[in-house]
Order: sequence, then structure tokens, then C-alpha cells
Amino acid sequence: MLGDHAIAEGALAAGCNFFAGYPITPASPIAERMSWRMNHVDGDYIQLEDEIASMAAIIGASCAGAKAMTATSGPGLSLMLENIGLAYMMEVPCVVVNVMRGGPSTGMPTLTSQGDVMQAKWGSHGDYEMISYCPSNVQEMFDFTVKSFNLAERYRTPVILLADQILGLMTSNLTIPHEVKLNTEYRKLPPKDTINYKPYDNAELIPPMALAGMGYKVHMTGLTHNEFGYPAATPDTHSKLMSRIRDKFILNLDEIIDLEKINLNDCNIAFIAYGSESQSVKGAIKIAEKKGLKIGLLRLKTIWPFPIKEVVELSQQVRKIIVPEINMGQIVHFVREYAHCEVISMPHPGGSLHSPEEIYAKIKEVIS
Amino acid sequence: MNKNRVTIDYKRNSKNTTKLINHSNNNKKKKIEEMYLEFQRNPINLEDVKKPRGSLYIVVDRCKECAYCWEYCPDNVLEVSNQLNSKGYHYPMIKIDKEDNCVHCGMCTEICPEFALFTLPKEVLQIES
Amino acid sequence: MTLPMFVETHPRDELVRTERLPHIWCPGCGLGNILSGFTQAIINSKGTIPIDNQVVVSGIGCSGRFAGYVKVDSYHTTHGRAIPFATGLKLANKKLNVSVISGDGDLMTIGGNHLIHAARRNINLNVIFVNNFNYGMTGGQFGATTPHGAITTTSAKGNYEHPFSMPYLMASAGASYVARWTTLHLKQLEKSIENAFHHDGFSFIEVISPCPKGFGRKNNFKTGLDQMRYFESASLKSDNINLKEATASMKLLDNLPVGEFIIDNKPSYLKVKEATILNNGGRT
Repeated sequence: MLGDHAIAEGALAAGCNFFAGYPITPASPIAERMSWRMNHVDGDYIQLEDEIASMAAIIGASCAGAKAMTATSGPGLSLMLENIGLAYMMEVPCVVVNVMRGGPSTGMPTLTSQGDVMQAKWGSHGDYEMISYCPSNVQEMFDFTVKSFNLAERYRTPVILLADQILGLMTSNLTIPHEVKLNTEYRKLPPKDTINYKPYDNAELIPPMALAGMGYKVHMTGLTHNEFGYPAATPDTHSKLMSRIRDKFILNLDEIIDLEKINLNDCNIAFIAYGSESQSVKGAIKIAEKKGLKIGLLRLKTIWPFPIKEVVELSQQVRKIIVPEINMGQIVHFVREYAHCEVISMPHPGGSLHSPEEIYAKIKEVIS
Repeated sequence: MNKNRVTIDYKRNSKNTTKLINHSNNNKKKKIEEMYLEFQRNPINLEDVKKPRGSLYIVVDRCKECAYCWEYCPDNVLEVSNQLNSKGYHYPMIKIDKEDNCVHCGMCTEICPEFALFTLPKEVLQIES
Repeated sequence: MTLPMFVETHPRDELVRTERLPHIWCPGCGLGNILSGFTQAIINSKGTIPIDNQVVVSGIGCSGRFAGYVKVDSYHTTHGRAIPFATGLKLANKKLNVSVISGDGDLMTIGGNHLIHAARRNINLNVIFVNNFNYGMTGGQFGATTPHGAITTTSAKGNYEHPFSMPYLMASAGASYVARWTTLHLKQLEKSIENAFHHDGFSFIEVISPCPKGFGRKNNFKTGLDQMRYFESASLKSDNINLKEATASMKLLDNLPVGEFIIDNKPSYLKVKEATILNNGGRT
């Protein structure tokens, strides 16, 4: 199945019943499949006039109880940033798929890159946390979409899935698990009594979410708000609200962060990689193994929240860390901030991957 | 046919509309009589029909002295007072000599943008006191 | 003199978040009247549309604060994006009666694209377009509906640009219910809002509102009352007017056409969607 289609199927398996989108290469196949498949699940597909509207629509749909998703690429994500902040502030679950392509600006619509990884966490204004999955093969395109929906619902937050063009337009084998085995989550709804309900109760880490039409007469706003949802612009209210929202992530890092560790226990040199680039790294590790070198890989399945603890631990075990990316060095800055050992960046301007041979060449260079 | 032409004046009790009707033969005479009774002037019995009276209420701290109520009261019953609410605005009052003029028409209740001023029928007040 | 009797509640308080009154709008602002009329329209329609199904979405600005005062499910969203947000809400729960209430800068200047597309789609929304001819909340800058030549904080010598004529624009975009009233037309506005609730399709009601501090005082209307007096003298019910001439110029010698200009019963987005799917093989 096509990677993009795997994302669409993953969304449907997770219970997605609302898709609002705008055509953009290389994410159009997701919209195309959704426009056809939404009818089967009694959901709604709407094609809006731009990505800004798409993002606003999925937040609105989620407020009414739908599991909502949109799919776009770099230029579209740039447009969606303001409303991603709105979803974060209003604490509304939704999933945004970004099939990354060559940037900046119009860039290379039909070629890959990993140039938006920083934008997912730091693009919108203000301080906010983000959860981002980064699949590295078509099976993960499906699985991580399901996980994105689950985490979005569990933590009442927008989740950005960072795929890239290579995976989006790659056709590969896919196993779709039986419904029963899929654990789909839904946000917590408030109890029956209306009188004492506070939409943003600071006493609960993840307050139950009242949907439109349930009779709770909620007020939700993007302004800093108090526990009743009303605008309240004071430093004290802001501090309480922002700490609670941040704590949803910070206190649950163990549940959110997902990593793959290869050979990390007995190597001197380790890679930190993500997405399709990590497949090249795995290839390079195999080449190195044949030559008798043991090289490790810490693959980031979730890029955000950044796995600070694991990176610190890794940096205390190995001598050097290499970070190959299909961008001019984005995650490497985070790695450098926390690592105690030397960190070497392996940037790529975008358009293709590093080949395993190129990565192996880098290993040799680093060792000598 | 001139000799059968009759013109009748009608006066509706409160509307003062006049209608001229021409009829041409006696078959319609009964219908005319019925219509005459319907349109006949009936004096109002003041025991049955009372002119409504209203009393004025205000949620005083909401008033912002916008002037809509005293401008648009159809009987000019209201004017600005020299009393201030806690926000520093002058709220309305009923003019001297106009105490009995409020008829609870509802205009001030509707036009107040602040959900401050309203009237209630005065009968309610009398029952309460 | 007889002072009014002091009480704690007002008969129209039922659907107002009274803990947040007095509201932030200036003395003389028409938004209070619109709030009053809108909440009454909800109450009058509760036989056919349960109050729990009423939802209000607004954007940013003085008119955008509307959502914070209506006691129904209400959402205060980003600048200009209230309409797509409302589209998402309506599609996800088709029982909801979604109203978008926002200002001219929010809905037409920054959000104009979304407004005309929503009209084109004939999506089932009720848009109450509060036109006070400027960006009030930020101090009175000009926008897409500011009359030509008007003085605002960013057009001190007079506005070089010409405004949209909203009823004309909406009609040509395909809206199926287009009306304009002023905040002085209290009863007509209330009835019009009820008609919009029951209208199946995209309803657009432009409400001309005084803005004494933003627009009014620089443009020959010292108080909100002066603008209301202008509405009284200049407005003319003209349901069948040629919409090309239906501009609101706010100039003392011009007329202000009001009324229900377009009532079209063409099928709404949802109806057409269902019919199309049904006619082409159903949901398979």
C-alpha cells in the first residue's frame, strides 16, 4: 500500500471520522483516499479553501466530538501554525499529518526532506509542548497514525505526525491488525451533573472535555483563561494554566516517548536518527558489522517531546554521537545541548537521503 | 341604476377608517347590515380595559449612561438623573410629573444594551405591596 | 423624581453569562443590543431548536467577545477563522445550530476568503456580521467596510480605499439568506435571526452598529446616540433594492437600505451532499 494511504487507513482504524484538507504535494493522496473512505465510516470529508481553514475546521469538529485529522506538507504547516496554538490552548485533540518535502518556501514538492522537525515544536508563537511521531517505513505510517490519535485523545492536545515524501509515496507491504487488537482511546467526558463542571479544572491534570451540544454551555477561548474557560489575563492565572498544560506532557514522558535502541550497550559510536534517514543508518550499521565494527543507533520514534534523559545516558556511554538528518542540522542542536560527549552533525540540504555507503564513510572518518 | 345606489359611511371603533360601499340590489342588504354591526362603534368600558402601567427597575451597576432609554422612550418618561452608580455613570430616572405615564411598553427593556433597565407591570407591584 | 428600583437581575438575563456583566463594550455600543436580540431569538425558537443545540462561534475583536457573554456552548477562536471552525462543528454534529457572530474586520477583512467560500458552499451556518466600519478593539483602524474618505487612526487624511457592499458581495457569492439591519431595528433583527435559524442554508445578517469610540467620534458621530439617530433618519426598508446600490456609506445625506434582501430556498450544502452520495451508489 502507498505510504500516504497507510496513513489514511491508520486514521480510519483509529476511528477518525472527520477530515478537512487542502491539496498539496505530496499529501494529496491522503485527502483523496479520505474523500472516498469517509463515506464508508459515516464520517465527513470537506475540502476547504486553504490550510488555515482546514486546521480551524478540525479543531471545531473535535470540539463537537469527532476524531479529526488534516494532512499537509511544509508550506501548509506554516499556514496552520496559528491554529495549532489554538488547539494547544483550548486543549482540543486533533492530528496534523505533515508529509515533509524539500523546503524552504515552495522548495521541491516532489522530493523529500526532514526540514520541518523544529517547526513542529517551535513554529507557533509562544511556549508550547508538542508530540510528534516520525515513521520510518510504511507499516509505521499506519501504526504511528493510530498512536497519534490515541495520544491526542489521551492528553487533549494536537499531535503532528512528521512523515516525509519518500515514505508518503513509497509502496510497501502493510499488515493491518484486526480491530480487536487495536486499542483506540477517546477523551474523557465529564460526569452527568452539570452544576459543578469546570472545563479547565486545574485540580485535574487532564480535565474531562465537554462537547458542544451536551448541555454544559462551555466557553472555550484561545485567550488565557481561568478554570471556567473565561478570559482572565493575569500572570497568576496564566502561570497556573500553562504549568498544568505543560505538566500533561512533562509528567508523562515515560508513556509518550518511544525509541528504538540498536546495539547501544556495546558501542563507542552511536547514531541518533529518525524517519527514512534511519533506514540508511541501519544499512550503514550492517556494512560496519561486516567489517567488524559495532555501531549503535538510537532511533527517535517520537521526536517531541525530546528524549533528554535517554540522550544524556547515551552520551555517557559512548564517545561520539553522529546525527544524520535530511536538513541542515535541526535535532543535532538539541542533542548537543544535552550530550556530554562529542556530537557530529551530518546535514543534507534535502532532495534525497544519505546512502548507507555515505554514512559508513562518515563512520570511518569519525573513527580515525 | 341610480335609484338603488346607496353609499354608506363606516367608522371602525379605534381605527377611524372609512369605507364607501356601492351595492346594486336588495339581496345584499342583509350582508350590509351584518357588516354594519361588525364595524359599528362600540364604546370602551373602562371597567374592563385598563391602561397598563409600568414601574421602573434597574440593575444599577450595569448602566453606562448610553442615553438610549431616555432618548427612545415613546412617551418621554425618562431622563438622566444626577445620581451616580459605582462605575461613575448617571443612570436614568422618571421625570417629575411623569410618574404615572409609564405604560410598560417594553422599549427601554429591549433597547438597553447593558441588561440594566427594565419595566414590570405595575399590578405586580401592587400585589407584592 | 422617581428613581428606578434597584434589583439584581434583568428579565433578559436568561441566556447571558451574568457573572461577566457589565460587559466590556463601550457605552453606546450596539453589541449589547445584538446580544439582547440574539438571546431572545434563541428563546423564541426553543420549540423547534433546543437551547442545548445552539452554538456560537466568534473571532477576535469587540464583536468577537460575543461568545464570552452568551450562555450557550460558545467558542472564541482565532482572528478571521471563526467560519471554518464553525463549519467543522456543524459537520461533526449536524444537529447543532451554529451561529457565527463576529465583526467586519474579523469576518471580511482577514477572514473574507472563508466568508465567501462559506456563502458559495451554502453551508448551514448563521452569520451575524456586526459592521461598525472599523477595527474597534485595536483602537479604530480602517478595514474592508470602512467608507471611502472616513477618518480612522490609520487613515488620518481619509480612507483612500472603497468598501465592500456586503449584501451585494454575499448575494453574488451565493448566500441564500441575506439581510441587513441596524441595532435600532430591535424587533426586526430578532425576527430576522429567528428566520436565519430556521433557514436551511447559509444565512448572512449584516448588523450596522454604532462604534462611538472607534469610528463614530472621528466621523461626525460624537456619541453612539448620534449614530442611532442617523440610523433612524437614514434607514429605509428596501427589500427589493438593486444590491449594487445597497452600500452603507454612513454619510449624513445618504440612505441606509435595510431589510431582508434575499431569501432563496435552494438546497443547502448538507442536503446536496446527501443527495449526491445517495444518487451515486450510496455510502459504499
